[in-house]
Amino acid sequence: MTDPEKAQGSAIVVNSRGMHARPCHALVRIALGFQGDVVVACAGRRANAKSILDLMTLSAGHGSRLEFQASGPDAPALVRSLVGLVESGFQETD
Amino acid sequence: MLSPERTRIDFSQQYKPAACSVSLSAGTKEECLRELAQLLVDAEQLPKRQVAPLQAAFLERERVASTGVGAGVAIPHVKLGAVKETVLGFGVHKKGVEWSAVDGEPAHIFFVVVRPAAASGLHDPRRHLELMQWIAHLARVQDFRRFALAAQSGKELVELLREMAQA
Repeated sequence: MTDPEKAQGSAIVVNSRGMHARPCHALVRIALGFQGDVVVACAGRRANAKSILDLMTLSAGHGSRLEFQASGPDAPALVRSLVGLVESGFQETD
Repeated sequence: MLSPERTRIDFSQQYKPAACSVSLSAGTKEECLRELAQLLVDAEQLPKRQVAPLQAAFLERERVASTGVGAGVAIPHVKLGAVKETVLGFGVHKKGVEWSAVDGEPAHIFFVVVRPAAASGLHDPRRHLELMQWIAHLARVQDFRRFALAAQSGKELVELLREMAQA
């Protein structure tokens, strides 16, 4: 039996308003599309990336660094998708 | 001047019993948002003429993304030009309402946040982030959700919020 695949990655929050409720929602929506589990760490705090409430407790503002650690059969793609979302500024324009 | 980061606000003190309801009964999300707007007006937190604009703001926010955050909790939160200070409400819907939440579960517990459209001496946007973080912490607590669902009055809900804030 092999360990589930693991992946990690990081991204800086670039949108001006940071990880408020809507970005948390967007991130969870993407994470839920994957089988793997993923944890986000920010400034010493950790959150389940499949829980909006968990993510909201991070209060990750503009410039914060998010570290993703995923495990599961699709872990690399999961991390790539989440990093891409964060780096895109969650598609927010302000 | 005190730095906002150095003082911790007890947000539970901003909840008024009249703006907290244990008897939400709307059958749809749209009706429930109107019920929540009416709750704030009936509690004299907003002028009567703001029911429709507030409901419209709620609906627009839901159109962008559902405020259903899972675990039976929704956090309808909007900006409204008519308010000078943040207005808070809290509601419990025993039966539950379909809210397009991320986990697909109906919403039973509602944290309502109506804040001014612009920063001012009465509204510090950084405090808003702290408020949302406080709400998220609270909503994650299973016991809090259980007690909220069992509360019999707005006064009991406020007491619960204040007890949790002290924990």
